[in-house]
Amino acid sequence: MFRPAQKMVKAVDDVTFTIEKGMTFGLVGESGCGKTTISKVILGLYKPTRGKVLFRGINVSGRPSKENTRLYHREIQAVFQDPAGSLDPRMTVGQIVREPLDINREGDEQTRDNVARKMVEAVGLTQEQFRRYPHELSGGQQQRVAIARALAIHPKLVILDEPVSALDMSVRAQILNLLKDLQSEFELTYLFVAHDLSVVRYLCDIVSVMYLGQIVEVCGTSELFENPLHPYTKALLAAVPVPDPNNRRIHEPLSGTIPSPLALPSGCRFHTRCPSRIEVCSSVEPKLIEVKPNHYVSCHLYSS
Amino acid sequence: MQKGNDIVLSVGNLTVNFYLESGIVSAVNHVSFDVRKGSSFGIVGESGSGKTVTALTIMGLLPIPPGKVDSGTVLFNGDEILSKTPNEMRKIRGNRITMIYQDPMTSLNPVLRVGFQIAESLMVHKGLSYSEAMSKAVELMSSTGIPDSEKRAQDYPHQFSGGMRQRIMIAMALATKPDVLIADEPTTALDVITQAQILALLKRLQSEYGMTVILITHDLGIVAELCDDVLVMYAGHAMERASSKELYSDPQNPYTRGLLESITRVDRDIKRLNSIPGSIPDLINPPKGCRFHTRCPMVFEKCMSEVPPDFELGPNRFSKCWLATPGGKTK
Repeated sequence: MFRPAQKMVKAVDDVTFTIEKGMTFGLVGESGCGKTTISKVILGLYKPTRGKVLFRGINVSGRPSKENTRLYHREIQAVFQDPAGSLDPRMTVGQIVREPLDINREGDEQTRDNVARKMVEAVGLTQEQFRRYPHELSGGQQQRVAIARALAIHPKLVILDEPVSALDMSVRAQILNLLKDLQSEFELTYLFVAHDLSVVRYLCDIVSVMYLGQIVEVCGTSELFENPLHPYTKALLAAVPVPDPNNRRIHEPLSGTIPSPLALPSGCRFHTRCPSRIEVCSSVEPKLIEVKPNHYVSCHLYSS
Repeated sequence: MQKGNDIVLSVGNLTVNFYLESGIVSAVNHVSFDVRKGSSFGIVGESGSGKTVTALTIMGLLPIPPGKVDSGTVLFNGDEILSKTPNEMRKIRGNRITMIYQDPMTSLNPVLRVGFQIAESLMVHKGLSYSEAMSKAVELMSSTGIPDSEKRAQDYPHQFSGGMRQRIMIAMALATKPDVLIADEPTTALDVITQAQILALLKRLQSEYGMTVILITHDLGIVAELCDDVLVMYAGHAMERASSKELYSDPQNPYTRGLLESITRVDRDIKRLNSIPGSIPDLINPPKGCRFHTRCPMVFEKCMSEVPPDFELGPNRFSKCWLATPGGKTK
């Protein structure tokens, strides 16, 4: 009896980065770039095939001890894109926000209740809403509940996976500002996973651009938006529509589609669509190197 | 309202309600606007703004019941279409006015080959034979950027990527050379680069075909890039209508201004976004008077009890705001 050969997809390939305390680190890329896989590995939802994740110096990706696993689950939390999908419809706001405190047995019942109430207020909801069910709230309010829950046990790192893309425009700014304020108030570090570059520009200190499982460029936010180096980054930035009719840029920045990860291009993965490719690109994989202080690019155009 | 052969679509005082068990949803409330022939017209709004219900009403696709047009007119080339019979509408819909949607997967028939789906409207509306229509379909697929179109016309929707399926939808919508193409959030489900490709395609085809495009979206960037004129909707109201350049440089409605000040941008560094407080109201019990008054920084008494009319500020320009009286200041 035959079993078809199993194909392997390298969702994330040789990715290395460091997030410093207190900063907001952005992971940007289109679908299939690996950014969601990375956040799941950091959350412990996937085990890496190779490599490791060091959180505060402790390896949390291998087989961490029970103690380390616990520590880890308290100190890393996440807020996802779809607020309605991440809240249990049968629990009240208060119960949802208290749950992580209950699971981690933080203090006695009264303490947990107080902490939950304070958190609900900190995210801009009222004590009246503490007793409501998710379906009674708007999308923006639901997202506030998800944020309150994520912060209830005072994590150190919060992974934000497209936290405002499912929200209405007039509400996005409220939630983005809330995230900024909470970051200073609670001394949080954020890993922001997104495809919306304008939100990345507002929120992030450092941005890492990914394509087909690899990092192609990493640098500070202003630097990325003002002096992008990698041809893919340039194409991404040129593709975003800008709300200024005097500055129309509609043109095709790039043709074709993202190749299948099952059939990766040889050499540089981007070469099949790159407007600036040179001969070496189709045969040799470029390496991520620092071409300017704190500005890393993986591209043959910049290697000496 | 302007008259003349310059206007291809004229919506006048349109009110659409949905009669549900839980109450009456006031989805579109006294909305009026004109669309100039050959222009690209953007309708911008958030959820509950009424933009999609307006488009469905124009197409004659409003589910009746529970929906009902309680007032208003929709003139297509001067001809009232709200009173047309279903048979008459069938000759217009998919033929002279066509529509593309956000999710191509739910509008493409999964069990029919794509070439056939494109050819269908040509056979039904233009009386072409099967082989004539299929050959035209292949041509259309090429012109919308699908490579190897003769072969691919024999494929099924699931064999294409999201961007390709959207191109197929566009080919379907163009087949009959419509007067008006309505595109409802055509790129929301697509990646940034694919979105840019589809928008560039729409722009190119619009000038090639000389047709009118009505683009419905929540994205103020897309509207600026593609549209000549813009209508801003909120909770069933038409809040402001202006040319693209006027709207972005000199908005005359606090809602428009609030939106523009609250969006993130790739082209500039923003220290702190201005946010509009509160959230979109319930359409079963909308606020009295101006529906934006509960969140408006410039609200005063009259706003809370009387709905402002569409104050005319120039040719094809109005603002539904009590502050927009001539000489008044909406800032």
